[in-house]
Amino acid sequence: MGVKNPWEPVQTFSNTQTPRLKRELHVKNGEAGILTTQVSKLIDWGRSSSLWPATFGLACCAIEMMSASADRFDISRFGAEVFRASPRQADLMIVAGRCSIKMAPILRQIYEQMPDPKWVIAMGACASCGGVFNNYAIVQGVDKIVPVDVFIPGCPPTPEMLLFGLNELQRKIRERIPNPPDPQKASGLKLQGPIGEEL
Amino acid sequence: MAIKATATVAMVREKFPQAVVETVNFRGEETIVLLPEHLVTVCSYLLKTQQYTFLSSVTAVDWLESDPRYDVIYHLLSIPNQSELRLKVRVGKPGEEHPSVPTVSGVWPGANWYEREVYDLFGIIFSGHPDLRRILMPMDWTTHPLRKDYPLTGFDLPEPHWGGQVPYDTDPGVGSQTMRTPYSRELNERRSKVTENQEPGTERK
Amino acid sequence: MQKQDIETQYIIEDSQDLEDGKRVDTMTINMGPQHPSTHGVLRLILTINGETVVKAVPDIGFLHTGIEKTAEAKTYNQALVLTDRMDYLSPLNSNLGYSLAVEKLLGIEDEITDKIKYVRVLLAELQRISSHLVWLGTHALDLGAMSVFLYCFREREMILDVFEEISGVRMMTSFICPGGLQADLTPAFDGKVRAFTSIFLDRLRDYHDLLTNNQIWMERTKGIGVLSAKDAIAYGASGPVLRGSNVVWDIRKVFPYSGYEKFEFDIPVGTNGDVYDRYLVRMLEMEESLKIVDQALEGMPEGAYRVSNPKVAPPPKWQITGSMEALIHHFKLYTEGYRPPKGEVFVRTEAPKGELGFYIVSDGTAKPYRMHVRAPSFANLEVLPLMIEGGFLADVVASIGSIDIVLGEVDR
Repeated sequence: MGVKNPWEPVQTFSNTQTPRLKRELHVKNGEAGILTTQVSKLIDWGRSSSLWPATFGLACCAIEMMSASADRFDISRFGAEVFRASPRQADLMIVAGRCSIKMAPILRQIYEQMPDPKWVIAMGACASCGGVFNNYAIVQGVDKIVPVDVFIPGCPPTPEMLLFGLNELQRKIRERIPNPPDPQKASGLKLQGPIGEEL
Repeated sequence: MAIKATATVAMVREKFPQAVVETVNFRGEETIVLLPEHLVTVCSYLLKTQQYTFLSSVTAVDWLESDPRYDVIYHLLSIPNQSELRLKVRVGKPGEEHPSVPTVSGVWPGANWYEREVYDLFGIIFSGHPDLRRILMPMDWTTHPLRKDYPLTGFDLPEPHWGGQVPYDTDPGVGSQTMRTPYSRELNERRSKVTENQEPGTERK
Repeated sequence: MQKQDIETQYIIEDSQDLEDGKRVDTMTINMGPQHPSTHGVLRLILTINGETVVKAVPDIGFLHTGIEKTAEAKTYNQALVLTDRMDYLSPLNSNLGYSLAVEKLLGIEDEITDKIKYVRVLLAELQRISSHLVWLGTHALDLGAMSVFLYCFREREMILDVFEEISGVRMMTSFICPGGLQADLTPAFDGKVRAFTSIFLDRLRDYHDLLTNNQIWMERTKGIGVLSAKDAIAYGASGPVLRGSNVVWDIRKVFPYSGYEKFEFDIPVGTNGDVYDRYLVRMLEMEESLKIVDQALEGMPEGAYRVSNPKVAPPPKWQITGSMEALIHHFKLYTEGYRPPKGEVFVRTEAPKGELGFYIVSDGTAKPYRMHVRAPSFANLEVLPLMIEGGFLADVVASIGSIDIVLGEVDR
């Protein structure tokens, strides 16, 4: 069987380049014990399997998110059926839909209201990169505002794609891959543009 | 049906000959072009005698090189007579930043939000409007996006929220959002003309 | 972050003397853009006195996408894709309105065959049912009936299966294009539609059993959010909002388009203009749409799925590999596009939310000079303050749900 099944999920992140967080629980004599490793694995499994999304449905992708939580594509089999209205009780923000410039400060505010640890899924083409709308009114990618862990392409992505993205996020949490850096905080990164230092 | 609208057009022409500039019939749709000063009288006449009680929409078109620059367009519907009509008003002298049209929100209360939208997107002021402020763009926006001289991708505004690079270590990230079309690359080259304190969307004088 | 201080411009001052002799303390609260019951990103600034809403001001624009400006930069075929995303619960109805407007502008209305008209009507009515199902699910969910949400989405999945069958896409199909349809119907289409229509009437009866004579539902919706007919017409409300207020007006009957005059269906009209009447109007509309779908399926004629006018329609795919002229024709149509004559049209259709109008101005080039969409939810939202001022805070949610707004349409 030399032919690979094209429907198998591909590796979506690099094994060598993607950093991993250390398991920081209960280090004794400079080494984490076996028991604490298992406990932290349990905690990661618990975190990934009971993600509580905050409702942030903006546009069309929100309807597919609702379909994903309905009976055919059941999101509750992955533990995420509790869509909390209040961001204070949520740990996952699924940005579903196009984020306009009027909505951008509110998106950031809702993200900041969520307690740590938190993750963000950018669902749809408009949330990932502006999508169909390359114009004055739409933020070209929500990762300019909040650090995004998983991008899901599609316009709108089918609920199965959303569930696959959720599974990838769960895998990311279990393998302790950290959140990307916050775009709103100064990173001190000096970037070289085509016209010297100023881009 | 167009038959009833045609009769209405004839009656308006007869009653307000000084107000009507021209009438057009294209693909069965009747349009009356009016002078701005007589707009409200003609509208009240249409509401009371011809039963055009339903205002479908108020919108505008920006003809950049024409004088007058803007067409403000009203789509009317008569529910008892089952007929539709379009009114057009041409405003905007060259160089005029905010042309003015009398409001019809006294005739049809539904015109309130439509006129706010036209003000927001085109900059046409409706005199006598009870509450003329922006409705779709953020409140502190200064320019009017649907004008023809406003670029589609907008100007790169110095806002802290959503501008800038995503600082990943491995990938320098995407470029500024105005770099996508040849027009906006041109805008970026003219960036040296932009100073910090000027109005967004304007060039340094 | 700019603090939005529009509150200071138009609210009623707190602690003001509102009633004679008595000092009344009002509170201004923000029913913000991120809210589970606002059906999208709608912001309501409510001034309440206890539980009573004294003043309500909607603040929209949080989903403003600049679709009208983007359409000016695309050709007519490319702008079709943008029309899907305005009213994202019924994209096929928006596509239909746009296609009718462009066809009127081009002057090819007479060339649209009966087959195209029947398929368009069938798809539009299926889309109407699916839009009303989402409305019912979310409205009932807001008012507490959570199981109805799951039932409605189960039915809606069957309709989305139909769309996936013919176009490959569940929601944003862009299947109805100026010039006809994008592709012919597949053989399995008939079976899938019949599978839906055979069970849907029973399911509708289930929803009626759950809600229509339910004491709690009636208490939460009767007498709430009353809108008089005069107000509805003066503010430009249309669709079920207008019909719920005892005005008999349906564009499919008055200005029939795309062959609607051949179908037999009734128009449900409410009497009181409250939330309950609008609910009943939409429930009965779903039954009527089902009737139209049955009639369209029975009487589906044979024919081409696209006009044969070479100025608008591309040549069939098999010709392109053989003939140079067909290749050039296809290339010109998809890179440059067709050029309608100079002029303007305004075409109204009856979308599930109300009167959807497309105003397209052409200046003779391949791109629309101006495309304005008369969104029904925009005008319907204008009457929201009339409905909720004077009522309780809990009824705000019922009123918003009953108007059935889609913010993508309101903000465009």
